[in-house]
Amino acid sequence: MLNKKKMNGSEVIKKTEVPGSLPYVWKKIRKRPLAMAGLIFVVGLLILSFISPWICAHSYKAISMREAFALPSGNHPFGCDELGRDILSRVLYGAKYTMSVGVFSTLISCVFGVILGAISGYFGGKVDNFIMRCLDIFQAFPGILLAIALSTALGPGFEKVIIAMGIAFIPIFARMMRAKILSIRGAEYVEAATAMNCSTFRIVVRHIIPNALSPLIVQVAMSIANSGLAASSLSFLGFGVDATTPEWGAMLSTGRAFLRTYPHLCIFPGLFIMASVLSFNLVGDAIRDALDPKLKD
Amino acid sequence: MIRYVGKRLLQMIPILLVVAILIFTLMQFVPGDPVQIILGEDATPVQVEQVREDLGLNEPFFVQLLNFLKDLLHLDFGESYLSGLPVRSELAMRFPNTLILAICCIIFTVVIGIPIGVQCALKADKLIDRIWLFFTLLCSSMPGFWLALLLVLLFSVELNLLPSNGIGGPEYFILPVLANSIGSLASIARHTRSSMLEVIRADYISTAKSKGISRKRVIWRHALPNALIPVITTVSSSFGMMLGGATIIESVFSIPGIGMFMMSGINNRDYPVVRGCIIYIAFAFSIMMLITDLIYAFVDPRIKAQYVRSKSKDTKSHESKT
Repeated sequence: MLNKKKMNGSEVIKKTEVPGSLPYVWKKIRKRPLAMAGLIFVVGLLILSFISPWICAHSYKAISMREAFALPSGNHPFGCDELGRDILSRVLYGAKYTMSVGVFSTLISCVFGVILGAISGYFGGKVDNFIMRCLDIFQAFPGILLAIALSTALGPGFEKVIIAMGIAFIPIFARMMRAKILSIRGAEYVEAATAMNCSTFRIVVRHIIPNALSPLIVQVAMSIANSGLAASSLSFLGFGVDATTPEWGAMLSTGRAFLRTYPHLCIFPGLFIMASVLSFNLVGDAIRDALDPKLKD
Repeated sequence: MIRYVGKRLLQMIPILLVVAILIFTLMQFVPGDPVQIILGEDATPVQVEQVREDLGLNEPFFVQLLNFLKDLLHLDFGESYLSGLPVRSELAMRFPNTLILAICCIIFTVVIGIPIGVQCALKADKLIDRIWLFFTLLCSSMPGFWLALLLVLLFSVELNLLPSNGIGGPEYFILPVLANSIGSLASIARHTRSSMLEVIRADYISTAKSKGISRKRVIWRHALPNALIPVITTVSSSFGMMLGGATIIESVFSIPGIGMFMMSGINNRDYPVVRGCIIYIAFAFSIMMLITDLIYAFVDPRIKAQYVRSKSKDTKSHESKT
């Protein structure tokens, strides 16, 4: 990463040509039609989700038993569920649940993971050993199971799902950050900063973390997709939000009982889960390729 | 090598112990009373008190924890509150189903996933590669349970070809295997591709090519074995996860395996069942991780050399001490 002084120097470098800078990443993403489509889908869906109470013809919670199980038609493009509620309105309104679980739980795991990983990687020795053994315990079973166990203990509720998922995915971030910091710690610019009598805190926050950012950003993008997917599995199993919330996983969970007779109850929420997870993955892929071509997989 | 395995097995003990304590403590916070679930809504307070006493739920927390740990030392997970059977034998009863499912899934994933990855790497950035890349991304974005529902809808409801739930002959496993392996299949294909791409650019591949070895031989004999080393981790960690029971897939297809056992344990507040399952899963997962490391050492002479070196160092330091 180049700093500003260098960019204002004799050789003028356009912002879009500095690898790793935001304009550079943006330029790369714009060149990928699929990633752009994903971005537009996610942003569009979020906007629609927030304005859906005003633009949808039917309220997401209006029950009309007369229209229960109505098949998709002009009036109800996605049909109605078992209580006659309009599925399109519910799917749109529910978008913000699934997405915010993905975003906020990733935020939690990212913040705590980075702090733990940074401490562990920078100080090494006993501190490192202790933190790593704690993470070993968390990683002794699959992440989704940890999330299930935590959300059982926390009880049902939207915020509790976020907390459970956030905790479950801390180890991934912590390990990644630790590995990156171990590789940076020996770098010359860190040595220079130490020689200039920088405090440890300053070295970590100003020199090491910014240089470890690009794998972190990639991990965040991927993690949002994974958490969204895992969260919908949780509510599908009945551990997430309560069944009346129009969360996609919960909608699938209730729709499942009517799969044989009225499959449209299951098809549409599932399609939306897949499309939004795919969008996050596409954007994540593009960011990764832009930030670090070596990480490509 | 044996020493290393022993060391790793010993390291597992404290981890499993902490997992056990953690899950025990966590279960204390779970809302809902198991006694109420066992007896139903219209139980008299006297009955409730009696059952609580019988199950040892009236003891203070630490006494309960100590009793649990004491039993655990004898590999006794206690008895299920609901069925009264020992959790250990219930686990043993359900394990074969989970094992069969996991083995079928992993074979399916490897047999399909790796060739796709190799194909993509060889045709990197061509149309076919892009199509596969998009397709695998699509697969890993698809919720497994939704795919399961769609498969049931297509093959059981519409075409009436395959059974939609339960266990029986091999046809009962087709849909669960498909639904359960699609995610790991995608990740293995992508992983193989990236690893293969890296290997193809290596010097020894150019050497092999310049020696005039046929392209096929270079790919299958020189490139692929090396490219597969990092893929082992992906394969074995998905296998470890599947051994832990495909919780969601098992409950969609009502396969009586470990995952479904745990789900019913959680729903019924059957604490011994939940604890037993979690400890079993942690154990299976850790063992798989150990096996991965051993396979690594076995297939990659570079890693094996490290062991040998550290071993000789060990003996040297031992000698110097004596």
